[in-house]
Amino acid sequence: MRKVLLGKLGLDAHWRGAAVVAKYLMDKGYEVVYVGNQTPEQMVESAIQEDPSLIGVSMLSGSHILLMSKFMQLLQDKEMKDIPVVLGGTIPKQDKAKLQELGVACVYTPGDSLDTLGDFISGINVNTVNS
Amino acid sequence: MSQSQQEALFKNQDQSRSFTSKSGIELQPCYAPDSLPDFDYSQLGYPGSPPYTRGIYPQMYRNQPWTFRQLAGYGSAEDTNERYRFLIANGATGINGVFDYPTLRGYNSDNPVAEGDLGQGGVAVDSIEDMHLLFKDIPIDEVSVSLVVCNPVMAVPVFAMYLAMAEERGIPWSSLRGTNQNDFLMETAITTAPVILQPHFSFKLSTDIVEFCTGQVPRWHPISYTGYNYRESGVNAIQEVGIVMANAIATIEEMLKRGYQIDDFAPRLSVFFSSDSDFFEEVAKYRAARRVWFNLMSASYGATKKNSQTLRFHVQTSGASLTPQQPLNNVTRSAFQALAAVLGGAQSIHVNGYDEALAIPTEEAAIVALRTQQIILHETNAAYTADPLGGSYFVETLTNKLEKQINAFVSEVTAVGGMVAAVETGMIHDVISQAANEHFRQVRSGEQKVVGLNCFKHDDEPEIEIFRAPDILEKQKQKLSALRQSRDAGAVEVSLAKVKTACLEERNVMSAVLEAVKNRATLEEVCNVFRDYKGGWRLPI
Repeated sequence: MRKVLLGKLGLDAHWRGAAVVAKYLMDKGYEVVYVGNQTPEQMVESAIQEDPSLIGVSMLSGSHILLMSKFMQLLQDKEMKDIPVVLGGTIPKQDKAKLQELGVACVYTPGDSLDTLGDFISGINVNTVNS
Repeated sequence: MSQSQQEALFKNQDQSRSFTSKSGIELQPCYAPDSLPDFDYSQLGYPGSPPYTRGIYPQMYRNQPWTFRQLAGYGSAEDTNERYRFLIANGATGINGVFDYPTLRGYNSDNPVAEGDLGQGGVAVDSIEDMHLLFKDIPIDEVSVSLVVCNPVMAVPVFAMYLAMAEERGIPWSSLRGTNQNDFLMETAITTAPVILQPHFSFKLSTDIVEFCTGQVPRWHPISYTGYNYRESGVNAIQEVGIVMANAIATIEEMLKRGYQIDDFAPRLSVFFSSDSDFFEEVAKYRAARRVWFNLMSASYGATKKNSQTLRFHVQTSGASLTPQQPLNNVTRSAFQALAAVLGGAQSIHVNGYDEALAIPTEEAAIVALRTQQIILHETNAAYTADPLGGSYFVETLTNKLEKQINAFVSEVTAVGGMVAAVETGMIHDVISQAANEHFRQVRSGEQKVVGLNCFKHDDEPEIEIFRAPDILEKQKQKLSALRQSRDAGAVEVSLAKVKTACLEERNVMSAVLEAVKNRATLEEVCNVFRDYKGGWRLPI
């Protein structure tokens, strides 16, 4: 597992978090494709083109429920549900369950160690190799 | 200090830790007269006297307390108008209006890219009609109004809507007091968006506003260099002030090139700083910034008006320093940060809500933030005496060191050809990324302790009430469709063509944009002219 698609849904303007995550992943040897701000439709399109092993979404704008619902639905429509999606940003605790219901594999918020993300990705790696 | 005294001070020092300020200045266990061997009070000067290190007024807050300017904006213009009036009724003395992402990036509420972000982090403004609703029953000739129009692409049309709204209400522009952010770095380096203007064009638009206000809106601050946002994106105190100064130099050079004298426009340039957690460094930062500004204006540009030489700034307590964990701790953090801003001589202050790291503030959080300011002003007596830390061996040393390093940073930017070039080449983005990664490394390793986040954690965090902005899509759609039906489409088209011509002929765009918004052109229609002309730049990150 080498390629991660990283982007922001909607118009959220903060790029610091995504940049820190991108650097962490690149230091770990992953290829990171950062697509910046996209609509859910555009990001699914990016996923089709890049064929990543993981999709990382960064959102600090409060619009995560609406846009992630749409994004996850579109992924399903395109039969790309097997690509794990993780979300990072300012996500209120009470929204986490709903996001997991939508199929988001992990939700990271400030204070979570980046290594939990690292462990998660290496976990996918093992699973991919096994399957 | 004698050698034995010095030895005593350093004896038994914990060697395993380094004691540095957040920007990396090494701190001594104690400061004494020999820390400032060349200290000369006549050079430091009194408050209200050059070089204004100690503040821009002799009496500081005795004569005029800082403005309590609490940030507010969510949902529709009607929703936010209510919040403004609520804050004013509770003692806020200025308005600080923040816009939602679609507005900040110049898209109408009914554009598909607005979905999800509409009315979330600020108020949605699509046209002059929304501007009327936003300031309904607010005496804008009396209250000072800060418009968080950070990106020039939308600062131009939204400020034009504000001016046109005042005109339609019969309020002369000469009586309007307030501030635009209007900082091209916000558009090209600090934040990200789907379509970004070329840095030189974004910079040109921001200078157009400065030029327009110079003649026509004399009491308005046409630009406020957003040091706060630079800081939030990761840089340290030195870089925060250094980028502000280098950015101001860019505006000054461009205005001189357009034929103005420094004292024509410098009195209205203003700055927006952060107040972070390193208490004494923040106080020293404001003092150093005033001195750097004074020297820049008087020595480098020959400004002679006092208002050109004095740096006026608004401060917001640091959002990035707050934690979603144990959110009530943020009340304490913000109070210390606000106190540093007061001791540093700020002209206006916003204190963050304790729930800032989770969402925009609930009414309760907004009130606690406002009360924090009121407690500092009315209970601590900290505002009775100007520059109370002036003369402290420590604070003066720190001020001197920061000043030197700020100047060094400005020279680095000058060396690459100025701020526009520093953005185009990605230098500023590199500075930000490196600083953000370094800060993150420190927090991750525990070198930098953050209470509740990497130490003193609770396993089970209680849930707190979160503010949820109302869904306003239908409402905005209706307003837009009514606008499109009632306006003179031909007049809109003609006035938008004039905006395009002004761009092509490299003239100031403000008059053309004013005409367009008065004809009920929407925000997005004006911004599309700019994007079609010089959009599509990619951030070098």
